[in-house]
Amino acid sequence: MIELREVTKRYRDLTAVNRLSLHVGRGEVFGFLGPNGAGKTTTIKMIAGLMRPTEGSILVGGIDVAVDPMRAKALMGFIPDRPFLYEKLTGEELLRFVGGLYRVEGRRLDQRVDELFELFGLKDFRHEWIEGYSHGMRQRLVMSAAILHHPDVVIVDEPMVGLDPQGARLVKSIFREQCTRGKTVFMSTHTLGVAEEVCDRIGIIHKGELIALGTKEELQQQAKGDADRLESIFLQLTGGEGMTRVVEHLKS
Amino acid sequence: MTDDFLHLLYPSWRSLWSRKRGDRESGAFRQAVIFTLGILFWAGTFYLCYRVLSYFQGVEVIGTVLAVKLLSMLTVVFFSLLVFSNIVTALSAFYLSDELVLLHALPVSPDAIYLAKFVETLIGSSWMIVLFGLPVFGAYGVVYKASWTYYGAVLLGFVPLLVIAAAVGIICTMGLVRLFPARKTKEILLLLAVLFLVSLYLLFRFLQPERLFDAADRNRLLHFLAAVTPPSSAYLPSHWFKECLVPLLFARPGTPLFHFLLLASTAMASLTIGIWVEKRFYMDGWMRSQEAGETRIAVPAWIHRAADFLSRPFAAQARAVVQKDIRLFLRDTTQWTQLLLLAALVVVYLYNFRVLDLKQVPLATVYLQNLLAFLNTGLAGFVTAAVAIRFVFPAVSVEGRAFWLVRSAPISMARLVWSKFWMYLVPLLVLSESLVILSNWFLSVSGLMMGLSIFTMAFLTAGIVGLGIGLGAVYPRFFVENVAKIATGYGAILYMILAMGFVALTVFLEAWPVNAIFTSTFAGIEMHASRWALVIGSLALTAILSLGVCLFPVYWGIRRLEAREP
Repeated sequence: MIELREVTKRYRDLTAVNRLSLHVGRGEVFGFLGPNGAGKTTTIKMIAGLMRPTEGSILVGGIDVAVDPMRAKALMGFIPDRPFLYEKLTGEELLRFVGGLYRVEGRRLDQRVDELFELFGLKDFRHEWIEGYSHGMRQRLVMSAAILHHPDVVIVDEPMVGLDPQGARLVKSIFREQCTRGKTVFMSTHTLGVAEEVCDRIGIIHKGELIALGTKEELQQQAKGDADRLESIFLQLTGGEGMTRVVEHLKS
Repeated sequence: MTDDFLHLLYPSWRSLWSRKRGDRESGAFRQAVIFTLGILFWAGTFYLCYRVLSYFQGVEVIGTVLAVKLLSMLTVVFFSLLVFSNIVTALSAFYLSDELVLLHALPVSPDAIYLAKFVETLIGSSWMIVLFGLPVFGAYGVVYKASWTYYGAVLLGFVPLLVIAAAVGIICTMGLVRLFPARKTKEILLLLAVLFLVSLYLLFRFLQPERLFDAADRNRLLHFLAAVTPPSSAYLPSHWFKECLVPLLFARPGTPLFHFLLLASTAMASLTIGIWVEKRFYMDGWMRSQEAGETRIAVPAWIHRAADFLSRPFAAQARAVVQKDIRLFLRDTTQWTQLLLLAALVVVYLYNFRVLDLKQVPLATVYLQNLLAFLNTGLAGFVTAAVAIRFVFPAVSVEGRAFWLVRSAPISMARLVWSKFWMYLVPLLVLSESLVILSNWFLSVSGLMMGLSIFTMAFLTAGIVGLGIGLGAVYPRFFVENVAKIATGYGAILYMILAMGFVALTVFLEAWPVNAIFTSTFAGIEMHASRWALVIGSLALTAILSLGVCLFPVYWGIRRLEAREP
């Protein structure tokens, strides 16, 4: 469903993503992990059509995002890490605006808006201006907007930031539910527990290069087999053992 | 405390330095344009003051009196502007700035924060007023051949004057925030300032000041000005500042040193009083400012329904953009204040034509009516451009940080930009055509002139809107908090210059055909076919120019938005 072919992104002298190739299938929840500055957000923005790769190509549903961005974007729903929204629209107006952009109209839109406010627990706030929403409420609203048009692919950058435990649980179950319906979820996260719990496969990016890819068990083997939790595997693969030593030192 | 105070200023200095470096990297052309405009403005201010003062100097007996009165008025105006500017800046610096949460969480004394914010407010609110005040005082020095002591006194006197204005402004702000929450104070102040300006503007215009410039009355006016007492008082710092300068300018007896010391001691006292007020009121006010939201203006539901109805002809995506933009526009209080200014501008514009008495002019009235109507098209074009810079140019920038939502949706940048173009073209066309039709009606012009004005205005408006939307997309400012600030950037300045140039060029292109038509009409001579061909050619050229000015920037803007990466 998502295919990255030798994707490279350079900013002047800095190579943020280097010859990244990846395939994510239909009905898969894919976790994209990496330390800060590894190239996760850049990759996600390239898939979502917000940035162009310097080299290589990205296909979503078989459509090249750079060649036919409108058709590719119609298949996707995007959730950014920071939910900046139009502050002086109400939650309902925002969803109706997004509906218009994705050409969801009339009764179909009315029904979907009701459904999403109910699902995300925002029913009582639908007529409130977004400027009055908390960070978690905004995040929920953005998620509603992203899945409003029943996209085949959901691209998520840091889905758990600012969510309360109920919100986090809701999001995890929504991702799994999307997957059972044959939809694809591509998410980057720092919350390794979430990746461990929700993702079918995980890719780890470090300094712009994909250094590991597979199920948790496959990653465990790649990390020489002595780590059992994703956190330890991640730290081993990204050279974060130093951090573990620091934590041990602080404990002592 | 001194260390903390200096340390707190460090981020501001560094940001300023980085911004300057960023400006240097952003291109020599941009810098050259801004620099040239600054110099032109400076030179213009200097020249205007120089001419007025030279004229005063030539008036016997009361010339010097007039110059002193003018200086007195100017210093009062400067001081008032400085105080008001400080009130507005202090609201942001002391209550609304995001960094305050971090600063107040630090183990730094509130006095150090107060002083750092004091300096920030003083510089932020005064630099522009001082910069453009200098040519005024420079003109005084040149006209009255002042010695270097005068220039030294201007610079030295300015320092305590600025400190006093900042302290008074900040104290006023702290008082206002005691009465209203900070966010509401900002809006109330803005609205009051705009209402004040609008009323002053309307009042001045309705007094018909042009009557005073009747040749017979001019002498009376000068004597009146000489007799009038400016709103100054011996207790005002602006008066002390003036008293520092007058003896050095006009070789009159006086006590400049005493007045300078008055300024300096008051500046130090005002700083101390400021700290005392800060200790009593600041923290309480700041904490309250965290709690209150912005004012909501309840727009009647029928306006939204009307907007939704009007956007029906658009396709789904464009309709979504238009409906969203109309809602955001109606809910933004800064846009409301701008609408007030616009309304005042239109009223005065039409009033000017209403009171125009052409019968007093010893020229063929019909010819003059039509000449004025022709020039009026250009004037209405300038007014439309002035309106467009406030509302049309920011159309893309108002997407703000939420622009990602549109970028990630399957809507092309072309559709987005064209939706905005049509959305703004319709109201601006109504405005500009109303201006020319009503003013032509007041002038009782011929049907031909009316038709030509309507034709020209339609093309001018399309060009002005296209240029505004296009350049707004080429130079978007998505991260500006206040919409009014979007119209003050480099792109906006460039837009204003190009729009004015476009209007002037259109008037120039149409001047010959209009003259040809009216000369032959009033002389009762049939126009030759070849002249008609030239007339039609000129008008066609105007239309082509307008379409070019409309289309090219829009396409440029679309390309730039498509290439833009977050």
